[in-house]
Amino acid sequence: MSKTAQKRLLKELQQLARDSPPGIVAGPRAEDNLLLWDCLVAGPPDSPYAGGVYAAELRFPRDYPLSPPTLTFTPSILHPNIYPNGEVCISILHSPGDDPNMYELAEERWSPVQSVEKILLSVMSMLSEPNIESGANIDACILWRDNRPEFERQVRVNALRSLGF
Amino acid sequence: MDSSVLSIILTLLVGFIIFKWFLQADTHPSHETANRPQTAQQARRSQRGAQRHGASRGSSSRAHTVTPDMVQMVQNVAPGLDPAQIKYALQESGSVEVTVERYLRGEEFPFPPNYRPPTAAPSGNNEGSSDPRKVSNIRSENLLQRFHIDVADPECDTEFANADFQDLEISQRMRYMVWDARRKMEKTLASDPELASLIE
Repeated sequence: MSKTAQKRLLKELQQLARDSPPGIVAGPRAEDNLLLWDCLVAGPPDSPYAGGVYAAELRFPRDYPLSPPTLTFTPSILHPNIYPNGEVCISILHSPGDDPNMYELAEERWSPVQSVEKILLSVMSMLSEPNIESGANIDACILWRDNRPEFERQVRVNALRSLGF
Repeated sequence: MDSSVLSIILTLLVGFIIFKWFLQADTHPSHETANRPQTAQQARRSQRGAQRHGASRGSSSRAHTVTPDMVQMVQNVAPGLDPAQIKYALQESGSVEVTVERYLRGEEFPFPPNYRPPTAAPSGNNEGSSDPRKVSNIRSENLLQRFHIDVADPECDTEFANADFQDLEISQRMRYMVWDARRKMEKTLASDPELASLIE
């Protein structure tokens, strides 16, 4: 890990510990490895994920913050923009530069001015408002579009079970 | 004098006719037409033999290289044929034109020997996918067990009820968040019968 990455991650950790946004907790899994963080994200109100708590892990590249981390829900959750294996697909986690598919604006994608806090806030926003035009889980996209009550039922059942009900 | 001239003329004429007959024997369309069904029959016979006895027999006569473009060109004319059928026919003929003509004549296109149609993947099962992101890990995990929270233990509430979130370590904050979500969900369930009905 580069010194730049280490300094940057320690700074972000201190910032999050001092003033973390509501519904977000994140920090390194082990003291000797700053490149792997555990996160908890609360389901946003007024969404089928409301009341639930979702675990995820952030893996940072050695050249962070030049390259973006990957965020993976562990276990995965049903959502159009989350791959079945749990990996989150949102523009802020995509490598800097122009989208080869001309779909995302360059300023929406990762840049070193982004941060863990912004990523997790973007994820909460994504939970509230899925974007099925750039879906990662096709089955979830179809269910969300064609059978919203069943989609919401499955999400709520998952939230209840994860809280021991 | 007259008879020798006549015999020379006759000899030349007969020689010309014989020469002409030999040339026509190889090039006249009737020759090809007459022999083609026999050749095709022989090909089919050897093909059936190959199907009965395995691929090894037919492989030597199917040495033509087939590119995906060739298969696609025939497929454009014959969309009803399986690519495996087209490829097998192209290996035999080596020519897109000949294969298309065979199709237009209504000939049968057999499948290669020992051909097994690909089995369709069951819907919703992505285990066979080469993309690891499509391997499903969507399931429920009990976070109470993961974070060692015993909601039946009164000491658990005592531990968190008076805690100041900002003073807690990261790991304790995570435990607090799960405990808090559990208690809030209990209250929600008490007032939301529709949500409570989801608990089996």
